[in-house]
Amino acid sequence: MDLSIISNQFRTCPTTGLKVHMPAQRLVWINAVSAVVFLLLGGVLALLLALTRWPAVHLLPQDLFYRFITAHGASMLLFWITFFEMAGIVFAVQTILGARYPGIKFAWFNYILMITGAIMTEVVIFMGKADVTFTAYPPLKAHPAFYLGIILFAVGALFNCFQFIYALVVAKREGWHQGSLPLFVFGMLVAVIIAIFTLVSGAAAFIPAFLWSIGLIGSVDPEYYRITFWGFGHSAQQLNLAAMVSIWYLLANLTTGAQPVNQRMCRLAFVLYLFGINLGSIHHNLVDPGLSSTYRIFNTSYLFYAATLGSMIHAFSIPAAVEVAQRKKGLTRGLFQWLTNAPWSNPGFSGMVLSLIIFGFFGGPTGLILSVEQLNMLSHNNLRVPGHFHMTVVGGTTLAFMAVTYYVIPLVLQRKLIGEKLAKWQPYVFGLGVLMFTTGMHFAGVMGAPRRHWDVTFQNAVIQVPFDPAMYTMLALVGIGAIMAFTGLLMYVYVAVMSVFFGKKTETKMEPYMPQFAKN
Amino acid sequence: MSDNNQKEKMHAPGSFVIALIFLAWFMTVYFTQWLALSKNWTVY
Repeated sequence: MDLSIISNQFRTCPTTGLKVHMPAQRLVWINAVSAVVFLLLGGVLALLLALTRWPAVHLLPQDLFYRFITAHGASMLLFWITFFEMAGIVFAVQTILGARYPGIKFAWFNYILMITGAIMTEVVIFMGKADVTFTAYPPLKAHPAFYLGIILFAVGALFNCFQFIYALVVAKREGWHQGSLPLFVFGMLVAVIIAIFTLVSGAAAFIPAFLWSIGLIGSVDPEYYRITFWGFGHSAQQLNLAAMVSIWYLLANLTTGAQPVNQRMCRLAFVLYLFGINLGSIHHNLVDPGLSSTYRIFNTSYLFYAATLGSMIHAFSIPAAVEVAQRKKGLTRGLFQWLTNAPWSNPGFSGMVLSLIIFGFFGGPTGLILSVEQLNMLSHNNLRVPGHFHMTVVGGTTLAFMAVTYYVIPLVLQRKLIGEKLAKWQPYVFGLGVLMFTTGMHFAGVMGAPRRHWDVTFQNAVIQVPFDPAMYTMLALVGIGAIMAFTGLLMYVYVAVMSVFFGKKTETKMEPYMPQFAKN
Repeated sequence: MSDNNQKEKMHAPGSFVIALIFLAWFMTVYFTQWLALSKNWTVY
């Protein structure tokens, strides 16, 4: 492509001074808007499910419960998070790296694949043809369009991942960038590498299931499906982890000017994710027959702890970076003046800190306990498991994505925020709600409440199951916390949608920009 | 002089304390969870 044309496609961000490649801006917009639509859908379903979990309310009938739990899983774990991450990888290149995003038409093709797949999957679920829950374990069989929808979505996402790597190569080759990648882009690259493994593993699970659903093959081995599915299902959460930590670094920088104290150590921590984390997926199979003890223990302990070490490094590195930046501003009194005088009314900062606390103090430890084989035997398939992953995916990843939105809207989408006061309170309302309902799920699970079950208390069972009365209190906490978290979600959606569609447009200053490190 | 140098080496003392609080929290959660789970799911 002619460099003279490309050089006129950049604008300068008036706040950060970053160069932004404008043709890719619509891609960020469409992926982010699609993500928020699925978040809203998944959130409504989450509220209905939580109110069914609360025995005093027990809202949904049996069939709708399983239908909605399938749609909730797909909307949140697949569509909301992946669309947002697709916006994130384009943003990483076209804004943070300040490079051109090559293959815009191809990226739009990928988006069409993804949105077609997502809509197809949702429609089939709501038609009642795929009440198989998110995991869809054989011999449960869904309509072929359910598997095909997920495959289309995954192929689009996979193409986007390869395109991101190609964009980094082009940035280097054409001289848009030189030297090490910025930490945020490096973290997103790690997320993309994990995503490629994840999506290939997903293909290994869903393609045979699709062939089985249309009758081309007679059966799918359940153990084969479970291993490959969790290579997809759990690794998808690991790429969320890498993306979330990258966003923490970005938000720490944007809100307080923090720079990592030791960049090499932070990069090493990301690399530890790359080598250690995927194999942690096997902890889903700890109670399955057919896998040797050595295989289970090695994959869930020794390599998983390498990834945990990575998280520990980030957990110290990010607060330390903020502390150093705050101390440079003169906030040096005592141990915590830097923290008490931090910008707590900035939703970017409060969202980042709450995300870090809920993920680090609650989601991480509860997950590590699940990865221990003996403890896994005691808590497998009860409500403690979704308690854990809602702490990580909702309290951690989703809250971090929400927090960064308050910067993406003005800086990338060039709209002034509408409802800034609402935005200031949003992370607190959402974060506290998530903490309440996940704690309720967690302890109800410890007391024996099953997961994936319409009637948690087995009221109609022939043999009554004696539960600790405290479990009912915990299930009520699930319902109350979910109402609060849903309120926080609505606040976020209101601010995001109103700002994106009706926010005052900020001035666009187009400036010719050439690759700064071109060789000739 | 040597005291000043030592103080300068600790760039983020507050974060270090937070890390220690986290380790104490983790140990508490880990062992209380083990205890609670083993009591609720007794192996006969």
